[in-house]
Amino acid sequence: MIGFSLVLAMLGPGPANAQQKNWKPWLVPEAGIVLGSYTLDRDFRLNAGIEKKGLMLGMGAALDYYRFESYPVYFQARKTVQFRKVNLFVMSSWGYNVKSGTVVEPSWWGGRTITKKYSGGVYGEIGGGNIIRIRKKERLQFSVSWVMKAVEESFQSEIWNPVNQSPRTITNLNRYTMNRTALRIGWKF
Amino acid sequence: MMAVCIILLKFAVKLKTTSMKRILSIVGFSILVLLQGCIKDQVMTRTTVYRPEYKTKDEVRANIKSSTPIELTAPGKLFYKDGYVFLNELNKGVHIIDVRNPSAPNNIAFVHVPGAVDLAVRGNILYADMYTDLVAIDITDPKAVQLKTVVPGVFPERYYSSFVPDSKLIITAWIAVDTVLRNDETISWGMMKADVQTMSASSSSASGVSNGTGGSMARFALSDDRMYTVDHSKMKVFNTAIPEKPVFVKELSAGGWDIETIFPFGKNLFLGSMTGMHIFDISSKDNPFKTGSFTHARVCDPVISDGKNAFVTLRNGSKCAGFINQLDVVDISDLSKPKLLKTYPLTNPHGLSKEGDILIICEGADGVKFFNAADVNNIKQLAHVKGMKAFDVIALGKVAMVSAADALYLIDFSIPSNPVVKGSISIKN
Repeated sequence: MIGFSLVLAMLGPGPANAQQKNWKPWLVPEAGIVLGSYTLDRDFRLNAGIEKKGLMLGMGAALDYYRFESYPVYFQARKTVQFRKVNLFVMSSWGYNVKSGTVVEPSWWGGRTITKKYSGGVYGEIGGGNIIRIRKKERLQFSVSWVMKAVEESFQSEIWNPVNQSPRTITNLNRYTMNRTALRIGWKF
Repeated sequence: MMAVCIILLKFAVKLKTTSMKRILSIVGFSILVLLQGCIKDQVMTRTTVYRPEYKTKDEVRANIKSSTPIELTAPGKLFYKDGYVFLNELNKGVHIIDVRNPSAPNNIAFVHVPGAVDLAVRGNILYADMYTDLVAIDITDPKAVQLKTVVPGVFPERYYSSFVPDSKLIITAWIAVDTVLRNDETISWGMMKADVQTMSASSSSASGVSNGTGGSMARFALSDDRMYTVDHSKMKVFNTAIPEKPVFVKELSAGGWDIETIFPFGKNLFLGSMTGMHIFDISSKDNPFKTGSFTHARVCDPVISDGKNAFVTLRNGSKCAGFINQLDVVDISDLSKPKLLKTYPLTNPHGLSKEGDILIICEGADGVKFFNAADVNNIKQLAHVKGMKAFDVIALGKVAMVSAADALYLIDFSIPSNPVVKGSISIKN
C-alpha cells in the first residue's frame, strides 16, 4: 500500500513519456542479482500488464533464490519519466511471497533430525531504472530497487527441562524479513 | 528512498550547469549507498525458555521442614524407612508417604529442598543435595522434620551451562516462558549438568545404625558410616558417624569419566559409566581405591546383587544405545572374575529388586513381572502385572513399591503367583 501511494503521488506532475491514448499490453521478463546482509543470489521475474501514457499497471511472478527459494506473486505499477531524453521509470510491487514445504535437516543431537515447515509472507519492492531505446523502441531496462520478502519457518526442538531433568519438546517459529537490493536487467516487449 | 530520488530528479531538470548535475548524481548515488546500511535481514524468533525463580539461602533453609503435601509430578529416587517412603520430587524436594497400610498409601508431607536429585537415609537422618550443598534432615518424626546441617559447596559440579546463577540466591523453581527474540538476541537458559540415571541399589551398615533402602538413580551410596557420592569424574567421601553432622572427608577420582551412578556391594562400590562399572574397594573407608572393572553392566543397566550373583537388565531405547532386552545373571562370587551364568530374554526391562528368591523386574510398558530365582540357571516367571508403565521397584517384605509413569504402586506379593495391587498414589503429568 505504501508503494502504491508513492506511485500515485508521482502521477500528477510527472511528465508523460508517451502520447498513446489507448491501453496497450506490455511484458517485461527480468533477471537480477539480489544483494542482502545474508548473501548474494539471483532472481527471475516475469511482469505483464497494460500501459497508457507512461503509466504501467500489471502483475508479476518471480523465482527468488535469496536465502529461501520462494515464489513471489505481486501487483506492480510503473511510471515512466523522460529526463533530458533519458527514459527513466519508477516502480513499486506489492504482493505475497509464496513459500511452502518441509525440509528435514540433521540435528546436532546425534542421530536426530529436525523437520522445518515453511510458509510465506509479504513481498514488496520500490525501485526505478532506465530504459534504453533499441530499434526506435524502449526495450532494454536496467533497474535498482529495494526488495523485501518474508518467510516463516516453524520446527520442533527439545530443550532441557531442569525441573524433571528430561527433554521437553517445544515449537519454535522464526519469522524472516529479508531486505535486499536488487539489480536487474529486463527486456520490454 | 523513492521520494528522495524523485525530488532530486525534479531539481536536476532545472539545473543548467554540468557540474551541478554531477554533484547531484554523486549525492544521489551516495544516498543509495548509505541506505545499504539499513538493508539487512530481520529475524524474529518465538520460542520457549526456562526462567529461574530465586529465594535467598536463608529463606530456603527456613523452609526445609514438613510442609503441606504436593502432587507427584516428577518422581525420582525413593527410600523406604520404617513404614514411610521418602520420594524425591526432582529439583524440588522430598515427598513423605505413609505406606504402613499398603491399601491406603497417604502422601502426608512435602519437604522443600530446591535442587534435590538424590537421597540417602542413615538412621533418622535423610541426606539430600540442594544444588551445590549437602543437607542433613532429621526425619525422626516425618510430619515434623528438622534441618540439622548444611555442608555448603560440596557439589560444585551442579552448575548451569550458559547461565550463571546468583551465588547469594537459590533457584527454587524454573518457569517455562514463551519469549520473542529479535535478530541477534540470544537466549541464556539454565541447563542442569548433572543427569539422573536409573540404577537399583540397596545399602546396609554394620555400625548398628540402619541405612534406608533405596531404589534407583543412585548417586549417593551409604556404606557403614560413610556416604559416597559421585558426579561425572569425582567421588566424594563423607563421614556420617554422627549422622546429623556429616563431614566432608575427601574427593578423589572416580576412575573414569561420565560416572553417573554408584551403589555399594559389601566392601566394594560399583560406579556406573557408559562402558561398564568401576569397582572400588572400601575396606579402608576413607580411601577407596579402584580394583577393577565389571563390564557386564553399564550406567544404563540397572543391577542388583544378592551377595553371590548380580542381576543386570539391559534394554533398548536407553541412552547407552542398546538394542537387546534381557536379564543377565552374573556370578560375582569372585569379583576379579565375574562370570555370565545365563541370559533370559525380556520385553523392555528397567529397574529390578529381589526379596528372598523372588525377583521382581519392571518391564516398562509391559508392567511388572515376578520370577522365582531360587535356581538362577532356571528362573521362571510366576506372575505378570500389566496396566502400568513401570520403571523401578523396591521390594520390602511382601510389598513391592513400583514407580510407574502414572503412579507409585504398592503391590502385595505375599502369594508370588498372584500379586495384587493394593494401593497407589497418582503422579500428575
